[in-house]
Amino acid sequence: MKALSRIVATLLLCLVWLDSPAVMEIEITEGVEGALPIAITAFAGDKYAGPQKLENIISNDLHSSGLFDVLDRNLLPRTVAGSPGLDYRAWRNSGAESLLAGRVSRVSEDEYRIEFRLYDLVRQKKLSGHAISSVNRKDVRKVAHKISDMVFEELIGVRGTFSTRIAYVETVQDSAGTKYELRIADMDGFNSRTIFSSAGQLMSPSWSPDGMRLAYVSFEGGNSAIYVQDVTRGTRIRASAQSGMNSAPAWSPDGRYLALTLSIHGSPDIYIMDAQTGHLKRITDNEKIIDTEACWTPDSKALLFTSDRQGETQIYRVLVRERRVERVTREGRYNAAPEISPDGRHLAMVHNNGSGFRIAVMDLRSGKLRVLTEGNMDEGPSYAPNGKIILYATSVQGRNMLAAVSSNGRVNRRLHRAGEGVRAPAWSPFND
Amino acid sequence: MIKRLLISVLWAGVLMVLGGCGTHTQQMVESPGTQDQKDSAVSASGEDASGISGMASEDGLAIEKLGDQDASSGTSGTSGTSGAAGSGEFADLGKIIYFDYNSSDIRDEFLPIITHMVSVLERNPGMRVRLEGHADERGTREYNLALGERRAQEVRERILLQGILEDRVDIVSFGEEKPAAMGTGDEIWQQNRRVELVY
Repeated sequence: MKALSRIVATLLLCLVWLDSPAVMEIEITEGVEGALPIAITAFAGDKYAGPQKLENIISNDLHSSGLFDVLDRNLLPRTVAGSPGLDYRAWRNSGAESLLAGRVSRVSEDEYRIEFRLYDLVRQKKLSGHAISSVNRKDVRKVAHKISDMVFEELIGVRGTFSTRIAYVETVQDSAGTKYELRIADMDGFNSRTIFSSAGQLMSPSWSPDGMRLAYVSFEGGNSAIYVQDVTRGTRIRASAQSGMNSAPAWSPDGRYLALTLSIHGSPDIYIMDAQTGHLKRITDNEKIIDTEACWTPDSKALLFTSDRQGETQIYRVLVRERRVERVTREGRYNAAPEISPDGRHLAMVHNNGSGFRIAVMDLRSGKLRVLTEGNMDEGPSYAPNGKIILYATSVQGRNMLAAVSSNGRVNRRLHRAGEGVRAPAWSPFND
Repeated sequence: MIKRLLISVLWAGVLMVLGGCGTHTQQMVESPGTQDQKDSAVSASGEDASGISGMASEDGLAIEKLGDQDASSGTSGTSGTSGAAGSGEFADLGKIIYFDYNSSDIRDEFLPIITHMVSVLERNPGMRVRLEGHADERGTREYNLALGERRAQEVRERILLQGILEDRVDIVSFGEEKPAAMGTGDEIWQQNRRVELVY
């Protein structure tokens, strides 16, 4: 019953959010039981910051991780939060264990000062208090994400990823036909911008470990080729244009190599390219077998990849130096697009056991598999750099969009501004 | 009898559509007249292996029927039942080879297309052909790009085996990105799992 009321409360919260002009679709797939109940009050003076309400951005961030149960603001005590004599008991009675309260004050025409305080309601003490001065109006979202990061780290003990970015491919129909755009946006889908556009198809963006460059597949020359583009400067180089296919680029975590799929010597195989010299080394070597979608383990010593070497499409692991191959997935008739968690303990993938292509996560130690999504055509899993959220592409009534599921499976939501034809999401590393 | 079979196949198709893409062969087995169909028509992954007829042929029914026919009559049959693009024009349909789900094996009924291609190349020494590989939307985009590549490679290999020089046969895979038919369902998917011979 308590869980149910929580869900209802969360749904009410969503309705409130829908009032804001920037509509965020929220989908609750399971209750948020076990998550940390937190109260986030409306930031006093928030009206100065325009339509982007800080508390909504922060609530949405924390909720999306699946680790927070953001309580319905309408059910919170009316007492002023943040005043010296905080009525801890009244706040605790609302069910919250933590309280985030803040305020915005205007310094000049377009400049604000944003303050916030975080309280532990159980131990009845203030955990932190910060003030961010001279915030430009256009940076309000950025600051809200920064606050989410600080709250997340304070309460969960793990670095927040709300200030990171995502890359994805979007198709746009215009008079000339289909145009492909490679875009970068905030992790919640806002503030997207196109960094490359082409009439030829674009696929598989992959971030360099320093977050400065993206490798991706482009058909701009008619055939597939791999390009590496500097994200801020926009400069790009053609990294691979071998005869046959050039696809599935993946940077090694140490930044030294780019794994890719080539068919120069027959059927698609995994190669690694020295990022400095361009020297190629063949990793898999099989006639008539598809090997593709390589993904590095965090130590840069092994690759996981998709292969049909034993008939079914399954995920395998290969040690880069020894080139020894072993099978990883056994459950389900189709497992592809391996994506290893930042801590190396879990493997996200596209999984089909007969009920559709869905995102699943496998515990690499126990081999236990958990299906996280319920779509028919879900694909492209990409971990947040702290491993807490998985971004993926889904299709709802024939429209492609991006969605995010917490890696514990508790919260699933669609991303803002994920228009038609959005696919191939890639979550950036941390910004620094 | 044929009519009854046809109805049962169509019904199976309806079930497939209603059940979404994840519906499986177990459901189909219960349809009358399909129990004796051979398993070999079902690809290794256990997913459907549809016939060129474009009808939901999870049970392999259409494949067997078409096995006795040559490619041209098989393909022209397509337009009659599925309303596929091309409206039965042999010249166009004779340039497309269709595949089973998640498979790159060339079915016997399409070998005449390759033989024809080879004879055209032999008659026209300056001519080149480009093989464009495609996949249906199921599965990941990258895997489907590889699948389209391998399908095109299989066709090229057959052409080369008949004495055509390697540099006259180009390959490109577009994966699932350029479907011949838009939408979802077995009939659509079958039309999209293909290699197009462009010359």
